[in-house]
Amino acid sequence: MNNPKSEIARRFLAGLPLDHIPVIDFHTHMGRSSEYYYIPFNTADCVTAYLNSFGIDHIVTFCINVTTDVAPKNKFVYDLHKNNPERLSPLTAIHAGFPQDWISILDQGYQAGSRGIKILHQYQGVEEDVDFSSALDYARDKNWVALAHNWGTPDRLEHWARNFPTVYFIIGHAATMYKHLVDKYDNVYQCTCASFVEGYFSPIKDMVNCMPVEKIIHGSDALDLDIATSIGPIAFADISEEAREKILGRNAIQLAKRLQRPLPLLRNY
Amino acid sequence: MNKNSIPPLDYIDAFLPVGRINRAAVQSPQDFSDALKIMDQYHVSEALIYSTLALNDPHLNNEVVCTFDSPRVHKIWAFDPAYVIKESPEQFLERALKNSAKAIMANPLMRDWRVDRSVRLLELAKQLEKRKIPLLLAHRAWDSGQDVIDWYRMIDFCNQFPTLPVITWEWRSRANRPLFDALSQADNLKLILSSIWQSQMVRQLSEAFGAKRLIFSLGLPFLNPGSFHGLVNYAAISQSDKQAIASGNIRRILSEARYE
Ligand SMILES: [Zn+2]
Ligand SMILES: [Zn+2]
Repeated sequence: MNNPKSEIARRFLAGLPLDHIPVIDFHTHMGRSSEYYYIPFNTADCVTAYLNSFGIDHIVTFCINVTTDVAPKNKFVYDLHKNNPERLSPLTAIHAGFPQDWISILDQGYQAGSRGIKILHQYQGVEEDVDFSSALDYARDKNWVALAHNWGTPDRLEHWARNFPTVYFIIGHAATMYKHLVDKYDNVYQCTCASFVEGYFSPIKDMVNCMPVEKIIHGSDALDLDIATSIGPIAFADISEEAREKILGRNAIQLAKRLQRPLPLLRNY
Repeated sequence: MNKNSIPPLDYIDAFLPVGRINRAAVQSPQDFSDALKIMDQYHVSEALIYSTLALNDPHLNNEVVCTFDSPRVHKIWAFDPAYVIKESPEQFLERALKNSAKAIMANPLMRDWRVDRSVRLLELAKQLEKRKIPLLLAHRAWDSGQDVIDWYRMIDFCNQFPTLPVITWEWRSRANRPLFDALSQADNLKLILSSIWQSQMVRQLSEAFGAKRLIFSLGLPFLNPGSFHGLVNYAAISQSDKQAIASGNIRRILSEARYE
């Protein structure tokens, strides 16, 4: 058998925490239940132990299942953040079908320490052409990010990125179709989430090959997807160890610095 | 024992495909030598192997896997439930075993036949149960793959053949409530691990139903083969349970089968 030369791959194969490097997970969901499933081990203590097992310093997180009232789902996430701000930062989910709620929902998020907006309109029974301007307008002076499960066409993402240059746009799932925007706009970042589902999302190496590696940030979709599904493909990707380290944590740390809200880390690396 | 000195797990891929297929992962093996290479690259010592053709043309699978020859590889033969086929399930099994098949697979989505109502599949299951040869129910239609297993039907089927090892696979078993029900009511039901993508489910399933229910696979042809080792070795379960999932469970099933 081949012995991996990568320290990250070696640790991954042994089930050891990646505590030799900073690891940030920028795409996670917290909750007890969704229409699809019951969520095992969803309590704060279990989640912390789960993050520790992989050596994850900090997660950016939002609620799961936003087809109904988002406010109580957001509150679950804010409470987790309040009890453990060192490990979790929340984003605020909005329901695209109820724009009349957005400002009050975002205000609640702001009070609770939110770092931005989570958009998931493909699951919310609305057309593709939702106008998110009022929500993004709220975000523009707050050093917030906006992370979408799917931004729709590149033209639409470009429209938002150009008109809201102080909002940082995260492409929620592994893709290469927005590569020119990741390259062109300072405020557009690409997340690796679900890259292991290769028929639908882009493999790590494809993304590294076509966009600045500094703009690629790690996300897992836990507690929907297991964190192993996001770290493994990075650990084994045919890219440099330096690129792996940037994607797994260093790029997100830089992004948070640009937003003037550094992410707390478990140790000095 | 120092954490760094834990020996790596021994992995067997119990469902490794060879061949082209829609929406395949970049590294999915297209021929047999690719399969051996991917096994080396991803730390898999042995594999049960099938051709992607099995999902729509069982007969062709059986011709193709006959050409796969390596002591590290065990052949999966595929079964066609079509009622009008003249060869009986018993004759089919005899021929499969003569060609050193170690497991039989069938695809209930080829298309929309029922394992609990197919005369030929029921007869085959009877023969397999006598010998404790594993039946792999790989559920795949070219246009669907998530939550396509009818878990309640699976309970009834497994209960009809309580000592037959029944192993299920689908692209993604996302809905876990029916899955929990099935595992709680059918002791002989086992899952290919790569259908389970959800956080901490390895721990949850092991605690509730025993680690013997999960069987490792790299997740090919559709998923990145570097993902699922981590589901096992980071799970909050015992080292012996991890080893059981990685290879012990499938080794035991193969060792208990009577192929002669
Ligand atoms: Zn998503
Ligand atoms: Zn998500």
